[in-house]
Amino acid sequence: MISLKNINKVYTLRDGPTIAALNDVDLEIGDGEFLVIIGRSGSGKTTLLNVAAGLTKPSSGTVLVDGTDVWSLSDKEQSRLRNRKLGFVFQFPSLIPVLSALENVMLPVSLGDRNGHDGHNGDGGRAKAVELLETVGLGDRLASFPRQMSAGQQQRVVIARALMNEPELLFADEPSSDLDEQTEVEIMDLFADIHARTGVSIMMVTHASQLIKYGTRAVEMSAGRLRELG
Amino acid sequence: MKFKPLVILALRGISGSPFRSWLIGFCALVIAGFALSTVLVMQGARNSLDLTLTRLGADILVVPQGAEEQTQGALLMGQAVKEFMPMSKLAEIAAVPGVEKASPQLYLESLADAPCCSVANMFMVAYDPDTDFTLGPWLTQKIGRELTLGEAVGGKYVFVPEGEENIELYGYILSLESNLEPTGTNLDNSIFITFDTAREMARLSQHNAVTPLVMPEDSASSVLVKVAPGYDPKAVAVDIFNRVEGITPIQAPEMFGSFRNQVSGVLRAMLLVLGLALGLSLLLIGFVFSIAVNERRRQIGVLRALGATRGAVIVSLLTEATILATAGAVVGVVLAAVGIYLFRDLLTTSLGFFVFPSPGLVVGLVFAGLALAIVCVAIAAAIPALRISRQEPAVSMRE
Repeated sequence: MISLKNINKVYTLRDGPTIAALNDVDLEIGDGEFLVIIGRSGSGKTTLLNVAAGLTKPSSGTVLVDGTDVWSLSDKEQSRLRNRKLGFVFQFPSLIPVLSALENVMLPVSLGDRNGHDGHNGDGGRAKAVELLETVGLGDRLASFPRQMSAGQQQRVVIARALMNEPELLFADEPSSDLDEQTEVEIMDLFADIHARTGVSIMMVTHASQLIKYGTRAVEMSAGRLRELG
Repeated sequence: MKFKPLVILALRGISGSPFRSWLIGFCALVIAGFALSTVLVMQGARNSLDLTLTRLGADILVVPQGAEEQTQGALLMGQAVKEFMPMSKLAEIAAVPGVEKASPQLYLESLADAPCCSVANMFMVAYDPDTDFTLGPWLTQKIGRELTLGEAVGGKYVFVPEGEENIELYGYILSLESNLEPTGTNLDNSIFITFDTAREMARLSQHNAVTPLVMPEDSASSVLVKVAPGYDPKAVAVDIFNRVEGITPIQAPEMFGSFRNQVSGVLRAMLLVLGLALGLSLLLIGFVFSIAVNERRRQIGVLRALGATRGAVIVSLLTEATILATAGAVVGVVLAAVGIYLFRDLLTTSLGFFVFPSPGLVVGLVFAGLALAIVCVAIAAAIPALRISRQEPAVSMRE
């Protein structure tokens, strides 16, 4: 599914010094895997996720998605790849504030380019979006705006949005870090349920070791290097 | 990439930041409104001068030497003229090779508070129907004949007082036969009578008027010259100057030169202010848009992660800018056009010469004003839009 080889990512600070966020990282994520990457703040796990998702270019190394080198693609091709094959759940509130829950979930279809066919029976993905919101327990909040929802509810909408185009791989960057314990469990249970039902591969980064149990595989990130956990 | 979601995002973005939206719209209003106002005033002044030249119908205006400014001031703004030339000059001028027609005019009086005029000063001009080639053709078209004794034609602002049947000037009854088309100059305040009527009026005013009309004997204020086909007006003007003493010929294109310069001066100042307003507006729009883009940095990063291309990001932001610019510019051009139209008489008084441009031209200028504002706002917004579109999504989403 995704293969990262010899990945290095170096940031140059404004006043000169450089920071090596990733040091010669190799990582493979296979079909149907639920990979949990744990690490402390500043360990490089978010950088790794961003590199794997094509959201930032590595300083060196290759990122292959289904055998295609992501950074050999044009911006349009990369955008299409992200739109069709990848889904995202970010740590920060990532709903578009001026769009309703339903409109946010439909966004991947709106932004997509399917040669004139939206792949959703011509309704712009509305029926699918409604179904997804019902799946995440927000069938009665279609017209609500993000400011009218709790953090947990917003994160559920984000998850629904991430699944809109039936991605092959879901990226989750600390999806529950801003949530209370109970809501965190609900969100993680939702991830587990989605993984079990759809077989979507998941790459989740977190600092919470108790979330390892949700994955099929776990690795630890420390000082820009990866270590498999047994 | 579908366009509709981008438009929806743009519209929602506008309503989500009302103050910012109003500010950008206002800048567009200023750009469009000011640009249109400047051009309308410019064009109105030019129209007026050109119409006056057309009304004069002459290729060359011959005036007493030293009275160039006075004469042009009289025609444009009704200023009194004190210089005259002997009528004998008419024959000398007519004899110059290349002069097809020559006709004298006498600027008689600048009457204050004349009852038959809707402006403060009415200007009386005597002309010779036997040699005239400017009013005559127009009279033939309008009333089918020349003026006779006791008859007059007036400019736009000359009328028969309510309750009266005729105009009385210096105790003499004049029949107003028709009104000329407006020129936006003093010619609109003018009343034209034949030399015979003027002499009769002057004679009778000795007994009938409180202040008699003083008509210089055998004199003219100017001679209008029509150049024969095949002759160069400039060469004929030079020839007139060389052959006839005590006069100055002014070619039509150079007529009102000092006034054109005055107008040019005013308009240069207006253009300078327009340029400053444009520059400041662009800076403000660029600044405001930069803030808007920076505030939405994370949002844009998310859109990119979800599959929006760089082009889509730019289109969305520019759509927002264009919608705001269009709304502001529409208000601006409407205010400018309506304002200039409503205050056109005040502009005539202030500038001395102004005619509201034709509807066709105004429509064209309105669209030009709209286009200018929209393009300017789009350019100002494009810079921050391009910058954010080039950022990696991860960089945009970074806290």
